[in-house]
Amino acid sequence: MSEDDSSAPYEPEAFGPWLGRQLRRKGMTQSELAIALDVTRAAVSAWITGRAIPRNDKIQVIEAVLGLATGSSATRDEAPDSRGLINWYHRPAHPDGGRELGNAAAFAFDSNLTVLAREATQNSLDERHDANRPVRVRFILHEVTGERLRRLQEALRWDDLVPHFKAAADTGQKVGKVLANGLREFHERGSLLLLRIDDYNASGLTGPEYDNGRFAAVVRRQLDSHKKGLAGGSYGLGKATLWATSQFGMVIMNSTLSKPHEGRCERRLIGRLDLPWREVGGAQYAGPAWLGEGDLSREGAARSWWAGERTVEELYLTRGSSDPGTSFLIVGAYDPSGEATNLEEMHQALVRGLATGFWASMVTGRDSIPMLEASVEALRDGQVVVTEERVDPHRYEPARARAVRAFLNEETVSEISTAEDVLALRLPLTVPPLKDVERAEPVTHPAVLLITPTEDDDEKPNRLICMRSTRMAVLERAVNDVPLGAIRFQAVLLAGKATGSSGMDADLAEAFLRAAEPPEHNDWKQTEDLTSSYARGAVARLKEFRRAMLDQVREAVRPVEHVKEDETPPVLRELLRLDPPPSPRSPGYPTVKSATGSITQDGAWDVRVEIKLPERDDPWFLRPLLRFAARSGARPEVRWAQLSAVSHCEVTDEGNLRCAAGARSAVFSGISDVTSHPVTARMAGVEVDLVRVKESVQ
Amino acid sequence: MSDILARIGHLPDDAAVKFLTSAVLEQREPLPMAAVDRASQPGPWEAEPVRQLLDEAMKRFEPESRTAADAWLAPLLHATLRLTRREAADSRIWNHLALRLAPDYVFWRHPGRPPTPAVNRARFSGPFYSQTFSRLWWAAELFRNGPDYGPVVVACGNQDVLNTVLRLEVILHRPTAQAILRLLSTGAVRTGREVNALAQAVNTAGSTLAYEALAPDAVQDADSYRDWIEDLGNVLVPYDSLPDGPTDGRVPEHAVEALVPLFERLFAEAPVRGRPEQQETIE
Amino acid sequence: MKRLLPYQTVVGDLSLEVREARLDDIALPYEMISTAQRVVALHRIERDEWRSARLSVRVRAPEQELQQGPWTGMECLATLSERRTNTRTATRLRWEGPGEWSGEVELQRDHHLERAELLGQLIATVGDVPGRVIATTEASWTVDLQSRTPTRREEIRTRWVDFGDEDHPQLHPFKNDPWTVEAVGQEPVLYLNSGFEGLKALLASGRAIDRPARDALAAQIATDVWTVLFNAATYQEDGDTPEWPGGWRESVLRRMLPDLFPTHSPDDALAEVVSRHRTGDGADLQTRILHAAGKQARRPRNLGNFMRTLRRTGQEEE
Repeated sequence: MSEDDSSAPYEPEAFGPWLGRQLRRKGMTQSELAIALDVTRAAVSAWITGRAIPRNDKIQVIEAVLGLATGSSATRDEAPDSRGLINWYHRPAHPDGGRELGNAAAFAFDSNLTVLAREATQNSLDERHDANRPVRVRFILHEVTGERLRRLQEALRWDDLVPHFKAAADTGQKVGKVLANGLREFHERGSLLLLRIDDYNASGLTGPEYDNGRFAAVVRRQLDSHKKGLAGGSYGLGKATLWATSQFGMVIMNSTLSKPHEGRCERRLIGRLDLPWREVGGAQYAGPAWLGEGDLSREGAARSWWAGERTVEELYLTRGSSDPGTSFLIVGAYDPSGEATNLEEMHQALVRGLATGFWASMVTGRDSIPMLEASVEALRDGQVVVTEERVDPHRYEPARARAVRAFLNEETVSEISTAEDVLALRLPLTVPPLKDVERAEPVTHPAVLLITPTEDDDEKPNRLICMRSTRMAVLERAVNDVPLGAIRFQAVLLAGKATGSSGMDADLAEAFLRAAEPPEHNDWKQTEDLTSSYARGAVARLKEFRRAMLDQVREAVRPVEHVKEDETPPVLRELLRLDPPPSPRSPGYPTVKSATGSITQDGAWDVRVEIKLPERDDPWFLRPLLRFAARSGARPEVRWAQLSAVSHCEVTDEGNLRCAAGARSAVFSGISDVTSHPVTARMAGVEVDLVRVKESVQ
Repeated sequence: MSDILARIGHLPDDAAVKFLTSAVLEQREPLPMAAVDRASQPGPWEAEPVRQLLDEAMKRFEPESRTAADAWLAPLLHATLRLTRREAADSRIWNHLALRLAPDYVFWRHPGRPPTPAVNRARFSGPFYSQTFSRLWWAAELFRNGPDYGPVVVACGNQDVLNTVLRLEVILHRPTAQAILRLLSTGAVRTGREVNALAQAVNTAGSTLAYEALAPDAVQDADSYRDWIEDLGNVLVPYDSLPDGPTDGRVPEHAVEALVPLFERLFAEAPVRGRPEQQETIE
Repeated sequence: MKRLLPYQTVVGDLSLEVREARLDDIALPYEMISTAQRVVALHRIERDEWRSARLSVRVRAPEQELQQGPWTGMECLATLSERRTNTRTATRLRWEGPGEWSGEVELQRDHHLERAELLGQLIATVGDVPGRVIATTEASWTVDLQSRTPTRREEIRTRWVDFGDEDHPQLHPFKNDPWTVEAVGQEPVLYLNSGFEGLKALLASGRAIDRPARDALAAQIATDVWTVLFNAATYQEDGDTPEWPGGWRESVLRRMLPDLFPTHSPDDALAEVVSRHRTGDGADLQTRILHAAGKQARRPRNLGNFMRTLRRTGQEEE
């Protein structure tokens, strides 16, 4: 890693954390420093915890003891990374010989780019920082080659990892195969695909290095659901999709914190690599590795570090603004499902995933801001391949997005009369009391049911989608048994906080429904949580609610007066159809396959006609008819001034065509007789028909 | 007619067809009026004024000049039998008129031509442009210029207009219909052959030209038309001058003027114009 | 059949959609508009005396093609027409943006009877000729004044009537027949005799055991219907040059002629039928009609299944 710009504007940092970090780097204990300075250990402890600051002369001695330049404690300049402080730390294998052949969490998902977009973005939404502004999510695909690639590899300390990759690829396990493929493609293509996922106006990876907090939840833990937030799952299982989308299991993170840690907010960096168990140079490694600053107090485990601007630039992790949030760089990104194979396809898959998963969070009312803004772009070596597309919910989910917008704008109606109308109904949800709370009375929460007609090209009409909290889609299902003559529709159910209500009933409904969700958050049903937390009858209330929503939708789309007008017995209906039959693809008679033509200088039509002939041993005799098109009634026929055979036919003495026996096509050309035109040629269209004639064989 | 019919009503097509046997059409047998009455449903329209009108037509015109009766009768029939288009589209009313109220007029106006002694069945019950009364009523409805029946007289004075032009979809656009009649009344087209050539030119050019866009029509006022229908009880329809038609809006003159030169040119440039092979309709 | 035009027209699709319908300013429920079937149903029992209907329509055209084509002074018309009432009105639509027009089409009830057709057209100046039609909607909409549900009825109308009933004197002669067909006027009707014992029960039966007999009966009825309709449709023809009769008659001919004369184009087949009628060469024609009618009625399969079932039950009894 190269030297950081010393001019980088560091935020003021407390002396204490700085001193603590210097000691860790030196591997020096507080007691050792106390002895070297001839002070008590309690004094050193007070400095480090920020309870006291040493005098200036003491500081100079400290700098000398630590081997730092004079004044470095005042600027609190970091020791340059190039001193070899930033490295990959590979966790040693368990002493008991246990092997983990890959990140178990990554296998919990049948991952693809849609899942990635959904999980990553849901995390960002749950971590919204300022509730008055949207969370902004940017997905950037970037393929790098050549020198750019080399510089990135240096920044990633790639060469140090190669023996680990090779060893892990040889294990023959699923992860090993992905890795081996990744390495092979990397060498063949000479390019590396990066997928960077940024969020802005989110919390960022706050919290201590090892103890509970967002940072540890993402970086240290697997299968950890740190959040107690609305969705219940942020940074839990979902984060594994980040690693699952890297062929090398590698993700580098740069976070701007919403709450300072060690007195700093910007550019908290750390990398994490998820490899299977492996043996390299005689040593055995358990699996994960971290890129960071070696922590001698933890046997060299890697800590996050505060990087300079140059470092983040080399790692393609420069953030667009100082707004808090995190950038995840997935190195060697790919679509685990194998569906999207190039930048354009991956771009599309991500946009689709965002639109399908978060259209509701992106809808804006007239007087409201969206919860989420999302965009996707694709670059190759710094050049734009697919320009940044801001995901427009109205483009991808027109009917549903219209429903939510009408709800936000209070523009819903009580009867649907136009293609754009949104019908809103109240649907009561009875929330039963909790078991351990002295509250015998259930509470009724009015959920909102929205129904709107959908476009003809909607491939999945007549569906109901149910949402709560930040308009997070929980379950989607088809509404079957829709009455005959009903409109095609989309329906949206908003419950809990998603109704926009801040009342107690909304909070209770929110908690009740969350308890009814399985870990995947894709259903409302009987769960252990539900039966253990809620009083008897909770499951019945839930079932009632589910039945009522479907019944209400069906009732709402039922035609007002359904009168049986048709007396045709069903069995006769098919047999008595009077609609025009489809024209046969291979008719048993000659047809005009193509006709082209133009008007000559004399005002005559000059046409060239290709005839398609059915198979027959005998020649076909045909009279080509040229007719002027008319608005209505019979089309006037005009005479030919000249008729000539072009191929597989000849013009007979009678002026008809004799098509060669056995031929499957024939071509002729003709010029109309101007004196027979009912109107000047340029004012009307013409049509060519073929009439069969009986003709004596010459 | 012997028995008095008070109201014009409805006679269904299938019933009409059954009564129109060859013997009836050849006037060897009379229509079975009692059976016709049984098959008919009563309607609201007064029969007497229409009956008087037809009697007057047969009085005014000699059998040899019966085609000339059309121009006189068409406006008067329209002004006497006041129907909405919706009502007039129902063939049952015309069946009833022809089979029940005035079969004598049908025989008088459209006698069989030797060697066929029979009246064409369609003159009793058939498409609007063939049936004895509906062709006149619709000619009046489609060729009038608002309350002015003048153009109707021009149209019905030429059998080719009734037999050819009336069937064309293009004339459902009122400015197109008026422009065609304008060429007829100015003498730009005269003979039946020329009328057909003009109609053919306008109809074929209509496959590429939207006359509706070139000469936008005004919306017809359905409410004024209703008022005119209801006003029937207050007026005596004159026999010797043109009656007043419904004031549901005249055809915009500029629309007609936009089409007249176009039609003149289409007609002038039509190569087939006046060539002898164009069959002239003989009545 | 391909039409050659002396100027450039739009290749892409022009589409029209009815977004809303109002009867005398009161909006109709949206379910009376079917965009899938392109039908608007206007009949409502509780509002029978309406005077006019307003349809909000939107027309869309391929935006890019319009920009690149040689067309100027473009305008868009919505045309509402009903052949039976000789009514055809054109409404100019507002330009809403590239490739999109919209407006309100008014339908006067007094000017319409059954079903009006609604289509969109693009008009432009091409070269030095103004008013050229450069695009027409592929499929038109139907505004049905007599229907309560927006469905495109595609089959022959069927009515259950007791042939002995007072109200239907014209059916008295057939009161012992199970069915009869009326093939005159604007619409043919198949009358099924509800007074004929067992007919309704069998035709409406959903029981598996009845199915072979029910289907065979249906095929028999349908064969009769098509035979009668075909003959009625061709008898309309008089005059030298055969002309397509339009309406249901033309539909019947277009469906059946390909089976009557498979090696003839529809035009040639029609000419052949007319010529045979004229020359009195009708025996072979009747045979062909029977074949074509049986095909419409799917007789081979329906009757074949029935006989197979009979044989099977026969064997079981032995």
